[in-house]
Amino acid sequence: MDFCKKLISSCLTGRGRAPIAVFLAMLIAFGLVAPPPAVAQLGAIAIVAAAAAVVGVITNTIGGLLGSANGLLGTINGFVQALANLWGNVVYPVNLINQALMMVNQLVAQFRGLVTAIDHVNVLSATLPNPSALEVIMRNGSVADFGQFDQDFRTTYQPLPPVTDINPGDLQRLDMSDALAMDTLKALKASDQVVAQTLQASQTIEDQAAQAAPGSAAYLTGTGLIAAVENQAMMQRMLAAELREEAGILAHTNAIRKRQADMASQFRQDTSTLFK
Amino acid sequence: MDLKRKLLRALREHRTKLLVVALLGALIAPQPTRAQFGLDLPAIVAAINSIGSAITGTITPALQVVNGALGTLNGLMSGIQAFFGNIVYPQNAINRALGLVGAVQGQYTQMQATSRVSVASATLANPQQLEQLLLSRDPQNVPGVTANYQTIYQTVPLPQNASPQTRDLIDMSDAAAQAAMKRAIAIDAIADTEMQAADQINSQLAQAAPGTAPMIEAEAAAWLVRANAYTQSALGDVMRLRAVTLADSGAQLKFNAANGAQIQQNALDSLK
Repeated sequence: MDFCKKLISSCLTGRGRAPIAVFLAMLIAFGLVAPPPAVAQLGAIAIVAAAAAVVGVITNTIGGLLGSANGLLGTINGFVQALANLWGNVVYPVNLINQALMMVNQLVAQFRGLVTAIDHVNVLSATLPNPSALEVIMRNGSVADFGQFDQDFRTTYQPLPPVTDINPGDLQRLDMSDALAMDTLKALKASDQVVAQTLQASQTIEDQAAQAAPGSAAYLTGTGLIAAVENQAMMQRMLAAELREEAGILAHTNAIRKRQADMASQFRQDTSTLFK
Repeated sequence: MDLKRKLLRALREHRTKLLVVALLGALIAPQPTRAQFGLDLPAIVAAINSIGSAITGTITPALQVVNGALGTLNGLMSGIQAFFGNIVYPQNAINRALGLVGAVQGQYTQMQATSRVSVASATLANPQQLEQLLLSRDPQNVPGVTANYQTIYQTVPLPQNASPQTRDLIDMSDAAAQAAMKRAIAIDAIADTEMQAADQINSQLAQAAPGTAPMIEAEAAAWLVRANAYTQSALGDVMRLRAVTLADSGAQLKFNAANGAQIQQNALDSLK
């Protein structure tokens, strides 16, 4: 204590006080001029509290959200897996796809040749040269030989009589009846060719069906349906030809009746003239 | 100058007091809190470590699970893509099917040309004219059939030339025959229309995607149903005509029976 008092008094009195005063002045000046230390906004306790809050957010909020996301992903996975199973096992099972392809091949092997052979059974039955020629040309499915057909038809069914040998009206009706018969036979020649082409188309579709995939089958079905529409149109053409022919038969029969009425009238007229 | 000297003198006289005041001020002034590098460093490091531990313990495993689930999902999606690409919609099968559509279209173009080949065969002028109308496939020619028909097959006999019953029979048979001929023209025109529609549907099918092909298919199915109905209608026309022909034959037989009875009666009367 005494030492301290002496030190202070020596600092305030005596010869040594000047250097001390200078030292203190420098110290104060340094304290004023030197940059103050950086002051953090929070103290260590606040930092720790903040870190604890971050940990809480990570654990409770982010961890919870990640848990939910994980659960959702698991659900999506389950859904996609179920979808894959549905497609692979129920909708498009590969074994059934292969079975369908095998079925096509089996039907081709089992029936195609058989039905073709049946369709090609020879039904030609004429015995004499002229009818034989006509029969062959009637059934050859060609539309390029109508001239020869006309000739063969006239050979077998006779040409039109000369105008001197027949009533003009009868001649016209005869020509019309012949024409309708020949029209139908020519339409049938064309139809036979179309049938052959239609069978070729069906074979092409069937060949493709043997290599089809579920996703390409719709094209084949569509093509088949379109072919069926075309086929129906051809059948309608044939029915139209038959209608013309049947109408011609009826009209011809009816015309004979009209002719008979005319002849009866004429007969009555001639008779009454005779007895006048 | 005096003021400055006075100030310097006052400072010199009170320098001791001033020093004491300055020293006390420096000592009493609030001390700044130490920054990061201080005695609290372990606590801060511990706090940071706790954040790291939370990330490592909570986020990392969760992300690993998510990553695993995404990997599984990716595998599933890849499997599904491969399944659809290789089994359900293989590109080569689709291309082959599209090629088939074009090939069949070519075949049907030939068939249509074959079906339209002229089959006209009449040799005389009037039959040629009627035949031309009948094979025209043009419904606008339907009204012209009657006149041409009557030119060849004549009209109903005059009342003085035939009995009323015979005239009825003739008129009915003519009507059935003419109607059938007119229907034949209409049916041919319908067939042409169906072929045009089939061509258009086929063109659309050739451009369709596997997913839209069934839509084209549905349209083709609708046309097929329609075509079936028209075929049925044409068959009905044929059956109607045959029924009229049969009835006509029956009526002729009845007339013959009546005529026979009349001749018999006349013979008996002449012997009386």
